[in-house]
Amino acid sequence: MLIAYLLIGAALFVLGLIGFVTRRNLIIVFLCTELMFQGILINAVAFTRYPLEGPPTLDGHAFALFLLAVAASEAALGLALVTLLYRYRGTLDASALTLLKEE
Amino acid sequence: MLAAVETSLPLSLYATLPFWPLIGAILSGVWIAARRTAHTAHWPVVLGVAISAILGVALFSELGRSTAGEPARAGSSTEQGAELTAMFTGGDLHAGAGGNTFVDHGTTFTLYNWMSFGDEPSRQRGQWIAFNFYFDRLTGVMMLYITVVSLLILIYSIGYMRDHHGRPERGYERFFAFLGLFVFSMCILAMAGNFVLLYLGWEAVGLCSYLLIGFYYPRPSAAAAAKKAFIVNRVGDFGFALGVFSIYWFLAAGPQPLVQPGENPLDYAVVFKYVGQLEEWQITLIALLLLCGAVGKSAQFPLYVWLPDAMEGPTPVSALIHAATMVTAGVYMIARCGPIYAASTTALGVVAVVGVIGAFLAATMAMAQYDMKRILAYSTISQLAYMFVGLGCGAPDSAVFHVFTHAWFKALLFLCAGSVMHAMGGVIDVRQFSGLRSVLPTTYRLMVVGCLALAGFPLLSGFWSKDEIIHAAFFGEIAEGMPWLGGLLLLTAGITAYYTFRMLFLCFHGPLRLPKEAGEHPHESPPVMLRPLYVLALGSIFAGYLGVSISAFDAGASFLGFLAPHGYFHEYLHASTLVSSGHHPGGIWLMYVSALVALAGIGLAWMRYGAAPVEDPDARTLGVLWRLWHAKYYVDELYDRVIVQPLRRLGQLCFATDNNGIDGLIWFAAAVPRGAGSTLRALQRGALQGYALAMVLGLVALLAFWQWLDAAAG
Repeated sequence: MLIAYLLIGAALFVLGLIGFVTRRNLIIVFLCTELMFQGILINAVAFTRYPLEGPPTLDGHAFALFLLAVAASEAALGLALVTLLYRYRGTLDASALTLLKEE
Repeated sequence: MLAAVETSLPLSLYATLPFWPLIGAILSGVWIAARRTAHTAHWPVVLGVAISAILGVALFSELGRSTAGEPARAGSSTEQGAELTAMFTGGDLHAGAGGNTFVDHGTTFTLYNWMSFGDEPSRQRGQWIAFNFYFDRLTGVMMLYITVVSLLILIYSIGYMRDHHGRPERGYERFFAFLGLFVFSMCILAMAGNFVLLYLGWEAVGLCSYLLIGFYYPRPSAAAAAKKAFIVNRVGDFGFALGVFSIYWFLAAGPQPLVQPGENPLDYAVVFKYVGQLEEWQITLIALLLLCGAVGKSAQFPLYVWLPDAMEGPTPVSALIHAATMVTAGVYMIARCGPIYAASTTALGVVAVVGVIGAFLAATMAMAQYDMKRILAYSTISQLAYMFVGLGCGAPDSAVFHVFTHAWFKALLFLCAGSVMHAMGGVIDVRQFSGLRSVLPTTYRLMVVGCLALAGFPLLSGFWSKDEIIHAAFFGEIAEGMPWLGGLLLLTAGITAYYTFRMLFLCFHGPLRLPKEAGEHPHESPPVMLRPLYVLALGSIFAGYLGVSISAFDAGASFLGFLAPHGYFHEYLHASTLVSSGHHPGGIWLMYVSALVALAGIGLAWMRYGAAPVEDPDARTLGVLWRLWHAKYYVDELYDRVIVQPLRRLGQLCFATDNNGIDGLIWFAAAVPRGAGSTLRALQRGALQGYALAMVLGLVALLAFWQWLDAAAG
């Protein structure tokens, strides 16, 4: 059964990755990072439920709950930043934000 | 060693002599910092030098009174008597290899031990370079005229360095501070008790000369002249330093040095004690290397070229440094090193030849100049060359006598020229003015005195001293090898009289003509300038009588029936490090001849220049020869072509190598990272998703690599 969960997790992660790399709207890009997060969480829970050796433990569940909390606060912070960015620059196009490039 | 010098005042008092002008110079320098009113800045220096002058006169008379080392001293040991006889007859000195004939008439007064000789054995032997002064009668003579003439010239400068309204020139306090520093350096030079301290003074006077020639530094010619003086002197000083090194090398280095433990190997007294034991070639080498320094400092052929240019400095500087004192340092040094030079006939011959060449060349060049100060500068070179001939002919006492008399009349002449320059608004070219007799009557009378003394007019100071040198050239031992020497000197004496009076007549006689710079009413100098001139004029007339003795109407051995050469001054100098080959009595006829030659020169000048013609008669008559003299034998141009230009090209080559070669290497080293950076900068595009993609791809590549490693290991 483990492989099915792992496949779903991997599918979520790759979808998120592709979206992260290809989409231009920063909110979508941000949602894609959340998608990648969820893929990883499914992996963590799956490995806890079906451990490779020994009896199952609760480590992965605890870990997943913590990660969800972190992801929620991170989402709040990230959306606030995106809002501010829109207020100052008037756009959310990722390809327009190239300040790190040295002329 | 004899405890030779006994003075009633302690020697430590006399040892303070050089430091008063230094204190004055520092105080004047502080005046600059404190921005006090500049017109009082001369007081510290004048007071300091005045104290030195009092000490100098006292030192001279005290050394004269001290009886130790006097040849006629009753009860002197026979050994010493024999040595002295040998000294004065010049008997076995030249043959005296291995024999030590040096008698120490002086006292070495040590202030403190300055430097230790670095290596272990000599430190164990207690050998030092000390800060010490050497007091003998040569020191006395030097200090007498250095301090007194300096004081007079400083007083004159108080008036000279001001404009027509009595306001001090710009840099007034700087001028006095430098002059004070100069007097200090010159005193150190003349009082030094060892060669290193001598060298210190030697370089310090060179520095002061540089600073004062370049006093008007905004003027490019003054800055160039200062540099020229300093650089030409470097050439000579290089030889001088080598000379000092070789003294140490021959006397104190090696496994079995001549210098014993506890003796400082570079002290005069020690060097002269042992120098007679060296091989002749070693002595000659030392003497010739030291001569290099003397030739540079005393502006002798072939290093005389800096002195005429040095006239760019203020006139009191020309009078003090470049006529009366500093340029005589070379003569002093050779006289001081008498025991070295006397042991090498070759070196003495070279000194005499260098002298006679310089005397003649400089005199001819002086005939064809128009700048009053330059005429006097060439005359200084010529007179210094006379002193060199005197030294070379084994008559150093006569040479020092000429140094002494020359200081008075040449300082007088320069200061008179300065007085003319002051009245003429800075113009010094004798073609620009004439007939100044009516405008500057006092300066005229003083200048006549100076010119007569320089020309060797009978009974004035220059006559006595110059005639002694000519006498030595005619009758000394050197005349056997070089019989033409005396004749050439006599001819030069005639030329001297001629060009001196040419200058005087062009300036003061004929119809009154004034340059426009002089203003409406050119005036005589203020008393503060004229009074020192009176004193110098008295010296010019009477200083010679220190070296003349009254002989009881012996027509065969005296001039005009009662005045015989070699008087008090020469007796005085016997108790010093001078090594005289002895006076040759007789030949009094030569004095009449040289008097006639001087009169003939003056007469010829009167005939040709008495009316101060606007067109130079000599330029017309002498033609090519005159132009050659006027162009100073093209020596400056020759040096420029042969030495200066190649050196400059070498410098340019070095500069190009540095600029392109070495700097190029560094530029290349800098260009490599710069190029790499500009190539790699294209990767940094600033796009968020680009970075993410690169990160993912990198991670994938890393994982693939890991997999491959596992597969390879497994």
